[in-house]
Amino acid sequence: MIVYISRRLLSAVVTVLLASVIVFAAVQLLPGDVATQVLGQDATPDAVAALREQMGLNRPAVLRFLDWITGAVRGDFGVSLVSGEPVSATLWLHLRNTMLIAVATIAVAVTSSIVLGVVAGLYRDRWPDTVVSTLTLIGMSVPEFVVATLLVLALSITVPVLPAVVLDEASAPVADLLPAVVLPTIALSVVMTAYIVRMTRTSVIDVMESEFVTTARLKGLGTGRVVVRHALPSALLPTLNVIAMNVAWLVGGVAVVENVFNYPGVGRMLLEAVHNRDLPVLQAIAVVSAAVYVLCNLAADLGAMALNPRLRTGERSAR
Amino acid sequence: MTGSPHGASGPAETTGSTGTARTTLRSLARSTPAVVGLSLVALHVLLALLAPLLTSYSPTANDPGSALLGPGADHWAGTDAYGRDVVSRVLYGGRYALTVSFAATACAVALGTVVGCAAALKGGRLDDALMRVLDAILAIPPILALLVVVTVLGTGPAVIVLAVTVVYAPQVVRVVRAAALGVAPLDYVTAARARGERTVSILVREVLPNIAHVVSVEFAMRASWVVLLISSLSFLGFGANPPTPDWGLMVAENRTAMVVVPWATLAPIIALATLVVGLNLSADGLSRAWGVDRAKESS
Amino acid sequence: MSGTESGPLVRVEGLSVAYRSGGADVTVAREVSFEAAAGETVAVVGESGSGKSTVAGALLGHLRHGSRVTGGRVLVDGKDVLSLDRRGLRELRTRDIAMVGQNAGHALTPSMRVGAQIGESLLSQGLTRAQRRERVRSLVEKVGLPDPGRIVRRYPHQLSGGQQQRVAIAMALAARPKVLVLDEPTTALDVVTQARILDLVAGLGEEFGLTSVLVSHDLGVVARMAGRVVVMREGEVVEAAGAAELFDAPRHPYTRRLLASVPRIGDRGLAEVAEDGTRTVRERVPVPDDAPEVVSLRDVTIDYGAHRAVDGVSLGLRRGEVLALVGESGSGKSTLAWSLAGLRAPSSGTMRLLGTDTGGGDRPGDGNQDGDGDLAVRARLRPPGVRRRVQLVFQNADTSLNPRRIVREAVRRPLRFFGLAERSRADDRARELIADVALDPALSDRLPGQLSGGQRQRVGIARALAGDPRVVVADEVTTALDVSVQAAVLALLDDLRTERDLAFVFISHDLAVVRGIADRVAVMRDGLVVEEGPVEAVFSGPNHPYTRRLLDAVLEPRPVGAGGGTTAQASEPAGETAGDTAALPRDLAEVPDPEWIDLGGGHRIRRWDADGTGPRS
Repeated sequence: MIVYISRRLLSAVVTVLLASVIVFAAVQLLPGDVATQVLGQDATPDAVAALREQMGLNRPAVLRFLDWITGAVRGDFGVSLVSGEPVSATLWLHLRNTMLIAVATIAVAVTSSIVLGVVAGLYRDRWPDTVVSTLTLIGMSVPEFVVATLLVLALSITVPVLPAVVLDEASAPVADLLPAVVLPTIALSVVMTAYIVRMTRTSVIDVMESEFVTTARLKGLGTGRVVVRHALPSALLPTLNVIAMNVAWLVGGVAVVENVFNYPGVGRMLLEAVHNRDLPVLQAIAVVSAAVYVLCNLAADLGAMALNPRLRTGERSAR
Repeated sequence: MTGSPHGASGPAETTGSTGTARTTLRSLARSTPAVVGLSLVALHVLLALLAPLLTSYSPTANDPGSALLGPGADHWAGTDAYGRDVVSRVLYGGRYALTVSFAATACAVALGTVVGCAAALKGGRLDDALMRVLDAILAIPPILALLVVVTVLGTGPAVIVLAVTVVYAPQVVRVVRAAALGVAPLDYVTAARARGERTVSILVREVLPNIAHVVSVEFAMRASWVVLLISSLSFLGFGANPPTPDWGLMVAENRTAMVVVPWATLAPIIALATLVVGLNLSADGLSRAWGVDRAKESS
Repeated sequence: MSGTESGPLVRVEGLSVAYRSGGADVTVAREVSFEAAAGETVAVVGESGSGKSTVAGALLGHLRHGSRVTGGRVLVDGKDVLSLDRRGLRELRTRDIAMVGQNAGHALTPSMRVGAQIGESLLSQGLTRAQRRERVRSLVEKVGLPDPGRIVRRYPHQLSGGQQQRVAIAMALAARPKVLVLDEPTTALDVVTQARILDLVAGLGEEFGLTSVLVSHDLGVVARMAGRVVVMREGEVVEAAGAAELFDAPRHPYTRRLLASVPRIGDRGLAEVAEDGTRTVRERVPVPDDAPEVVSLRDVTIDYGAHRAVDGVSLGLRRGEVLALVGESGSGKSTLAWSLAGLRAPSSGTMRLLGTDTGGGDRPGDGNQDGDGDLAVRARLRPPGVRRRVQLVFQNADTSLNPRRIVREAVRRPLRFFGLAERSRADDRARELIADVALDPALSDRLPGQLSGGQRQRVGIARALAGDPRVVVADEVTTALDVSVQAAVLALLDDLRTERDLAFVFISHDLAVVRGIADRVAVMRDGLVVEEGPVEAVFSGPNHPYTRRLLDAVLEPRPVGAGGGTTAQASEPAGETAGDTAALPRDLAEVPDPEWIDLGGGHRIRRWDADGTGPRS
């Protein structure tokens, strides 16, 4: 079990490293001179040369990467090209704000989707299933910016109960931000729930048809016990992976939704960086999101171990 | 013991010599969701093709004189802040959405299928290394990856197609590889290996025909995601450049005036949602007709 | 009528079950009636699609998703099962009736400890936690599981197949039911384990005074267990009678054919069954003494990583000879066969194809005119002339053909691939080959899904023949088939062997089948050959204790009491060593070979440890 966990940890580290190599390569090695890109086509050659010097672009890419990654490991992502301030300080602040939305979304989406998915799976082809499946289809088919826009229309303009646009600075205290978290959370939860419900429903149906659930039923156990003790641990296994995958989507979704609500999180920071071609910021955000994604997958693996004794007791036991 | 009533003894298998294609069509026709979905997609394609015939307004020309009009006889869904006809922009927007999404999806699925099959059949170190790299790419959120590509290469349809291919091909690889790995140990593939067939011919003759259904479902499903992703990108201002008629862009442009001319925002939203619902239902219908577990494939 | 001592405890009256498929009702059971008196064991027998499992489920009020009862009643202890509400059903299942399924590996919840799963069945009895634990412990002991204290804390995947089935039995018995339904309880198990589980069930049934309904396709199992037998076919009961009567004098032609189709361990050749069920044993055509050797294996060892699957096997195979490889799962027999077919190179040792005669084999394109070649490499590294000489037929006809290509294509491809037919002739040749395996060539345009299991298996054989092989490796080719189909496929293989002078490596775990078709037998265990010899010599003994155990575990379709049939003694492993050693001629023990005891005539037995379990080390 320890071997298994450490193997997973190692592979997580490798994945993040590889992802940062890819990001670095994409940003720094793609056609076109980075300095020219940052300054725009009409920049004077002198300005370009100065920036190249400042960014250390005259050194080999490998060395630049090593510098950058060793800095990143210590939490130093370099200096923003626009503001001239260290990237990490701004990033952590925005990350904190985004975490408010992300954690709330995950909490809401995971609980509601598991409940809805299990209900739909258990009432397969009957009305609760039809209702849930239809809602799911709609949730999957409407992009998050549309949900956000409609929410603004409904809850901020028509019935003004919640702020449509956040006016707080990134450094505002958490308490001030809380009201602003509600709408983005709803918008993201709707979409995220839709995906997880589908998986949960399918896997509940699969497991409910499995022989061991039939056996448990034929033992004369009550439905509650059959579902909770026998079916759910196996049914939730594939759901865990989908949840982890959805976290990757969430980071993207956050960018869009934060933009709609002008919420001072990583998403908005990202869009500003793209606008300004602020490459150090872009790199930093990419690597941090990759790390978050990998961590979530790791958590899903640990969750799988809790649900599946086969993983816990080691793969090499007697069959 | 297969005392099971569902399975080998089912009538679908015993009645006459119907081909796979016809069986599929029949089961598609029987499923209401599939019919609705395919009709929706077909309707969108038709509307996009016939756009010039259906509206006389230019989707891009400004007409300040008739800005922010409500729905009326001249403009069925009103006009936007620049006085452009909403219906016309939505119709032409369908052209843009369908072409770019189709091209991007086709590239991603084609590339993913080839690489996925190769990885599954070759196996070994190549496969291990490839999966590592793919894991790393998958760790970067799609929108972010797209934004990075757009930042470096600039906007425009070609860049979008390239970016979407880069972002989604790895996911297709995973799905196709898993499907191919499911086929690879089957006895008919083993028989080909025992005969000493080359990998390419095993792939083409034995594996591909048996994962074609997975690839098709994957295509329909990916297409729905790509439509969503591209519209999100446009919404953020990094996809289509104004004044291109694009649904995401329209929502972004008009949402501030939502109270005044709601249809300018709602029309593209409806268009977008119906197309994606159509694609989703088609994917569902196909996967059900072929017995592909779609929810699992998407993970 | 309930509660009376003499009335039947289980009564099925005119039960009909159907499911909807493609808008039409498909009947799975039609007007099924039978009954079981208290303490009686009734067997429901049939081939696949007979509806027997549906009936078993209905006894517990369980139907598969999409099926429904269209008529009839099921009475268990006087209760009308099919009209019970949810609560009544739960009571029935906790008190009156329990089921043991086919595959305990699937029937046990993977995420729960086995002790907890057994204990659950006791929940309705209002026991304290400690009492429950005590009961679970005693149940675990009762079903013969070792070290109850530890085993209850295990998860299902940590147990062997036999242990899992014992847990399933403990689970079923926990609630002290009156009726036990056994749905193919030993089909997934090895023969030796099967014999032990059946002994256990029989003993427990007697001890608890259980009424059992046994569902099985295996007439040997039925004969061992049942007092009365109900024969089903395509959803209908064709015959019901006492076991002795049914096995001795079956009345219905289907029952007669079914019984006659079962290979017997006493047959000195393949049984042929006529339409009316009469049975004749086909004379085995002896392999001529001067038949040349076609394949020679020397010290072949095959490893999977650190695991040694095959450990120093030396065997020879002569032209026209059927060599059976026998052993339980994990014995290495399939690994050896697949290696021979070129799917995995051995780690050491030699495997050669010997081409001492040309036998019509020299065609243009054969790299080696004699077809003499090295088989110790993977197929792709073998020259085509060698490669096509060894062909494989698979166990599972469902997966051995590409479902998206018509079956003629499966036969045509090797013809083209090995250059054995011109493009224009290939289709005709493929049709001829399909006709050679006694299939209607008209079927050659069908997809595999449109053929029956037996037909698909014939196509698989035709595909193997397309390479014009000298050796065919047949890996459990009849295991997945119903007995009547199995008999026909075996006859086909035997015909092909004589017509084409083919040599077969025939892998099987079914000794009765082996006795019918094989000329020589090699018994494998843990990667070693423990005994090898002519089929008659091996089956008449003396034997290696392991072979003896396999032979003893064979169940014949003949009631136990009727005598003659071998009875299972496998439950007493201690008894086997002494008897067999004594049966060996004493002076043989002095033969200098430290590894083998040679009994002459090619019959040799590996020496063994005193406990009879392992090779002498």
